[in-house]
Amino acid sequence: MKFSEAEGRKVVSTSTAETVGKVADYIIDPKQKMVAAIVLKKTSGKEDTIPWDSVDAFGEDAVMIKHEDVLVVPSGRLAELTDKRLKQHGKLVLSSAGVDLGKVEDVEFDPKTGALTALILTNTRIDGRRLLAAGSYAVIVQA
Amino acid sequence: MSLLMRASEIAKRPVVTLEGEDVAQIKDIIYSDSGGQVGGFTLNGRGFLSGPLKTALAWGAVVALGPDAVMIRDEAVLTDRDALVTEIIGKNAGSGGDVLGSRVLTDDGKDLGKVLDVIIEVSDEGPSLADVVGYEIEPAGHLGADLKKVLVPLPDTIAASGQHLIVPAAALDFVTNDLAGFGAAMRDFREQLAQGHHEVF
Repeated sequence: MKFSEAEGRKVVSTSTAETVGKVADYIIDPKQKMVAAIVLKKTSGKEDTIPWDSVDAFGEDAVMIKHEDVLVVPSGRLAELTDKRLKQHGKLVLSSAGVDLGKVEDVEFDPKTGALTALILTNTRIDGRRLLAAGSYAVIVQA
Repeated sequence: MSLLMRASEIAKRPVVTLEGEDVAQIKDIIYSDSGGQVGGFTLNGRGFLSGPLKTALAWGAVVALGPDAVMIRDEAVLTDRDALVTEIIGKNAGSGGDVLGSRVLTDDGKDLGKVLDVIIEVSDEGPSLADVVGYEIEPAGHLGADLKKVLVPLPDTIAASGQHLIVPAAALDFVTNDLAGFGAAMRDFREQLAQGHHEVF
């Protein structure tokens, strides 16, 4: 599944059968090469972030969680990772050899495990296992 | 595998950590070994009007010198600039290094032209070195009136001061005008030197 495909998808609580928000963004953990959390829009409170572990199912039509309570305001590690949002389309990708590989257009991930499977750049696709880091200047991938 | 690049292209290249932060940009090259190798770089800040930084980057701390960025582990590897310059140039100040604008003389007394740029070879095999392997020069008239710039390969050791660069007369045979052909020309030249015969045309 790609980030772009899931944009705007409703997030539903299985205990109340209500929509608690819509998928807007992702926080990734470059070292674990995983989605760390999903960020929502149109939530009722200021808690807008769901840690990946709290996602019960990331389905084709809806993301399922147990209850609105699992939404948090990022703190600790999640807060540190908050500027790793790859949704900044156009983020530069540099290899560890100092070569400009292009810009991030989209990201592919495994909806069951949250693993980042690929970075989709304008002209190429980079295996997610090559991801090393995401900083304010560039995403770094193994050369 | 090795890569040839011009010193002038390295200036202004961003210095980026493996965490994806751009911490500086390359200002100048500090040459060591009488101008034969790259010892390190001085740095400018990254902002629009940023000036020179008090820190500098030793060659040993460079993870990779790529066409789009110079990669380093993290900002902590940058060292004090004045200390690094002293360490690299040491007591040989006045020799080697800054050859831009010097005249290139063959060892049999022929002026080849003026140094415009330095050609550096970066190898990714074995101990990583950035070797000065040649110069781009504005040729003196006799070398070819239609050529604006030519590339002169270097043997492993040459003599250089701020005024002159002395090259073996045989270097003349290997002068080319494109960087792509220069790699082959340089290897041929060095091989010929190693075999010990100098043919002067």
